[in-house]
Order: sequence, then C-alpha cells, then structure tokens
Amino acid sequence: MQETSAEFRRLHSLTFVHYVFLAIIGFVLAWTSSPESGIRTGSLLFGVIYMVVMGPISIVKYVRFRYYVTSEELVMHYGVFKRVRRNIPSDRVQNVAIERNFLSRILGTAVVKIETAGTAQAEGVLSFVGVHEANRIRDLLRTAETTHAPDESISASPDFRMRLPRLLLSSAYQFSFGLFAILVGVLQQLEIIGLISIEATLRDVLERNFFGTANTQQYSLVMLTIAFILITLILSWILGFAQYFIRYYNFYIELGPEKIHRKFGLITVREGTLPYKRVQSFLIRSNPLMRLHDWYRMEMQTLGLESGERGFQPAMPFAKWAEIVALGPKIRPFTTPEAYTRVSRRTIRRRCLRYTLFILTPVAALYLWWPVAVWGLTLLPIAWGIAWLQYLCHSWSFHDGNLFIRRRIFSQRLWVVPIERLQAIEINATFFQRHLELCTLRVDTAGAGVLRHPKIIDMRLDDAEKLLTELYDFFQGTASKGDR
Amino acid sequence: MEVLDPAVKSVWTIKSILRWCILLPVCATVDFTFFFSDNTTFLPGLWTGLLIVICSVWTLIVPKLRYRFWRYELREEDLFAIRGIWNRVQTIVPLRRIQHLDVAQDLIEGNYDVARLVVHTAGTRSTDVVIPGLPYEEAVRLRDTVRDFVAEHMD
Repeated sequence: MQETSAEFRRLHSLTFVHYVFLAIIGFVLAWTSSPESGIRTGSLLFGVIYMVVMGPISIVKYVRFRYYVTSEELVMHYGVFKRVRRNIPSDRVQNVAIERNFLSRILGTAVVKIETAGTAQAEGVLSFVGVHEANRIRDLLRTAETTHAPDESISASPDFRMRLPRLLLSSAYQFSFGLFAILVGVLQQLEIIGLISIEATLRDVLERNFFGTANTQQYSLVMLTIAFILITLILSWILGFAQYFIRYYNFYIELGPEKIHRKFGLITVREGTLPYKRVQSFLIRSNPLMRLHDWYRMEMQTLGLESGERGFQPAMPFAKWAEIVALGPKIRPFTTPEAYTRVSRRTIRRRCLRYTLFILTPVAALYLWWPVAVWGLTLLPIAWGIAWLQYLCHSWSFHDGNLFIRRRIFSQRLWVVPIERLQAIEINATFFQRHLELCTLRVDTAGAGVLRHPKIIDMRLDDAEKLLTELYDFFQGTASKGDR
Repeated sequence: MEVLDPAVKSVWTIKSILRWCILLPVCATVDFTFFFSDNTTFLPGLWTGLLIVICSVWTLIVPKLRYRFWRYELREEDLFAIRGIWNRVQTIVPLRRIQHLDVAQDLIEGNYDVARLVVHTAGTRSTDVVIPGLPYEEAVRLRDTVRDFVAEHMD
C-alpha cells in the first residue's frame, strides 16, 4: 500500500467544539466551587492561561493529526512536540469500539477506539470523526466477516437483550455503599464551601413535616443524623438507579461466527466487537437479594480492553441463571458442576484469629485513653459469625476443564476459569496458614485484575497440591501454540 | 531444585542497608531537634539508635533467610519457583505462556557478577516472575533455553 497524502484524512472539524465544551465545563466547575473572590480570580486567570496555551496546541494537534485506513491497516500521524507515526495492521486489531457521548450525538460525531492484543488501553484513538466515517473505519478494520449492519441499527434477534422492564428492575437493585460514601463526602464538601447547610435543611424538613416549628426540642442531634443517613441512602439509591439505567440502556449482545458484538448506553453509546479468543474467564456476580429472585450478572474477563472496565466486560448485566448457562457456554464452553468442595474448615479458625487481632489491637490502644472503647469487643461475635459464613460461601470445583470458584457472602462471586487459558498457577501460604496446613491457590489468567482474580483461600495444603497437579496436567494436555 | 548464587546474600545485604538508610536522615533530624529542646520524653539519639538496631538485625537475618528459602527449577515445559520467608509462594509458569524475557543486572549485582532473570507473561499477578541471584552466565543460559523453547513452540 503506497502512502499518498491524498489518502490521508483529518479528524472531524467539530472536534474543536468538544474541546471548547470541556474547557467551559472545567471553568464553570472551578468558578462555582470557588467560595472566595481570590480563588475565583485565580480560576479566571487559569482559564485565560489555559486558553492562551492550550488553544494553539489544540489547533496544531488537530492539524498534525492525519490518518488513513484500508482493509489492511490503520496509519496515524500525530504529535505536537513529538511526531508519531503509528501503523496498526488490521489482522492485529482485536476490537473496534465506537463511543458516542451526549454532545457527540448532537454533533453527529464519534470516538473510534482501536484495541489490539497485549495492551491495557486502546492503541489507536480517533477522537472525533463523523458517524459514517466511524462506521466505515470499523467495517474496513473488521477482519473476515462483517455480520452487523452499520450505523445505529440493532440486530433483529440478538442473543441477549435488556428490554425496558428488565432494565428498570435491574436498576432498582443497584445500591452500593461506595456511592453512599461518595455522596456523604460530596454533601460535606458542599457544606464546607457554603452551598448547602445540611443541619438547617434537615431541621426545616423535620419541623415542616413532623414536629412543627414550636416543638424544636422534640428532636435531637441523633435524630438529625438518622434522618441524614436515611435521606442520603435514598439519594444514593436513586443515583445508582440512574447511573445503571444510563449505562446499560438498550444493552444487547450478539454472538457472531468469530466475534461477540455488543452495544449499550443511553448518553454515551458504547459499541464494540470482541473476538471469542480474548475471553479469559467468566465472573458471575450476585447478592443474597438478587439470588433470592434468581438474578445474576455475568461478566467476561478479557485481555487488554479498556481500563475503565478493569478488564471485565458485561456479557449479561442482569439475567436469570438459566439464561446464563444457555449463553455463557456459547462464548466459552462450560457445564456447571453438580457439587462443589468446601475449603478447609480450619479457615474459620484462621479468620477468627485474624479478625480478633484486627479488633483487639485498636480496642486495646483506644482503651488506654477512652475506656468506652471496650464496647468494641462486642464486634468479636459478629466477626466470628462472618468467618463462619465466609467458610460456608467459599467452595470450588474442577469440572470439565473449568475451575469454578465460589466466594463471598454478600457480593457473591462465581469464577469460571477455563484451565486452557491459565498463565501461571501459584500456591501461597502465610505463616498462619502454614501453621494450620492451609494455603491459597491462585490461578492467573491474562489481564486479570490485581485485586479481582480467581483464588481458593484456605485449602488444605495436600488438596491444593493435588489440584495444582490436576490443573497443570489438564493444561499441558490442552495447551497448544494456538492458545497463546 | 536449584539454589541461588550465595553472592546474592551480599547483594541483598547491601540493598537492605541502602533501603534502611533512607530513614536515617528522618530519625537523625528528629533526634537532633531533641538535643535543643527541654522535652525529655525521649532519650537523645533514641530513634537513630533504634533504627540502627532494627536495620542491623534485619540485615543480618532477612537476606540469609530469603536465600535459604529460594529454590527454582527449569523443567521440561515450565519454570517452577519456591520462595518467601513469611509468605511461602510456589509458582509454576508454563514456558509456552512466556511473552518475553529479560536478564537484568544493576550496579551492585554487576559487582558480584549475579543477574536476575525476569519472565513476563500476559497474566497480572505473576506477570513478572523474577529469579534473582543467578550467576550471569547461568541467567543467560536459562534465558536462551527458554527462548529456544518458546521459539520452537511458536513455529
């Protein structure tokens, strides 16, 4: 392929509108959150400097960015201070994702992210191009088959689709303490900068609705705190609902001959293809309430996709167990085991000891200055109860070439790890574990998260060594150069 | 199973001293302030002394124990390593999963003619399996053996 300047294209001319919009949002945020005029002047000054410096850089960046795409490769030339010329052969392209946020949809633009194997982030990003150009790029780079209609059309029969009633129901399950903590932090921050007064607002609400203005003595600070927590819990649930609804709106997944095609999102529409070979393992998540109504979430752990998803791509955000065992094996074959083996019962002893140390140490330290801290010891029976529940909820099974690992009490997880995909196996025994003849077996797969990875905690050492041999023998039997 | 080159104990000892030395200016500064203060809560030189005692005990014991528990073996189709004083870790890395290999040597290791073999896989936890304290020639030999295996199975 000869490179000629005539074949090169520039990004969409409305790219600048995105830059300006982002700058305005940043400036407005800085301005409104500045309580003092001094800081406001600083924000204004910073805004002017930003425009003077970044404005010309953005123009040069836009002018320098040129690309062309053929069915064989994507070539990009870019860089302001450092000229970069990047060639991405189409046979190396693993995924072409098209993202459109709210502004993009108004302007008719899109971001195209080209991902290749072995990179944690997109290797080529074209932000922004026109929608038709984005579809043209995607269709050119897609190898072999193009099974999906371009543009916004949705396949008539996707393998799984979240219809509105299910989306509404699944959004209702989305409560997270993480969001609650963030909300509490944000409200406190807003109070510090003087935008709201939590106590005055709550007093006002209580006076108007419950006690009346004359009976201000009837409620105490404790009641205000409880009211604050309750209101924040409801707010965080509403936020969780909205966040989930916007993210997974119109989710669908379709299994093509070689690739998985997915599309979802309300404000930012994410669309992408994923080769089956890149799926490393499955993570099926649930919680006691969801399990009670037979709802689960299945994610695929993939290699080198966007860091925003931490290597986990939703395959079925909210589905019945029967739907999961029907669709999952089509992506990577697995059959669910009849029975699971629990980890060693000694795990209860080890966990109890661990939690006891965690509780006793701060209680003992606090007791020296604050004798009331002794009440912290009431946490001990709770901690021991949790240790016992953790034992009950943690089990494993090696079945049909897949390692199944169940863990956790509330945020329940079931890992399905195809052993042919393993990268390394590790047996780890801490001092306490060795004392109890226990260990942790870890199975490392490509792109697994440092914190979220499959592991069996507190297996008996001899069981772990036996399982390790069994897994490794199976791996050796199935591994071939095609698996790399 | 193979043991590491005993020279690695000296390398680890020097590195351990250097790491502890980072804390030395902090402790020395704290002690220095007490010399000019009426506060008699702490003995003069207590923190620096404590640091020297902990550093000495650590440096005398830890490198020897680390060396004692480090074992590795390049088997027909995998690399097996056992190590750790507190956390005893056994790792098996199938050779066909290796993405690339490095033989690394810093200034101190160079002085003792030892090197590290760094094995990279696509995994996350065991992405970099490092076998330290190998005689340089041995590290190169191991690298070449693994490289040949990988090349052979890639074809």
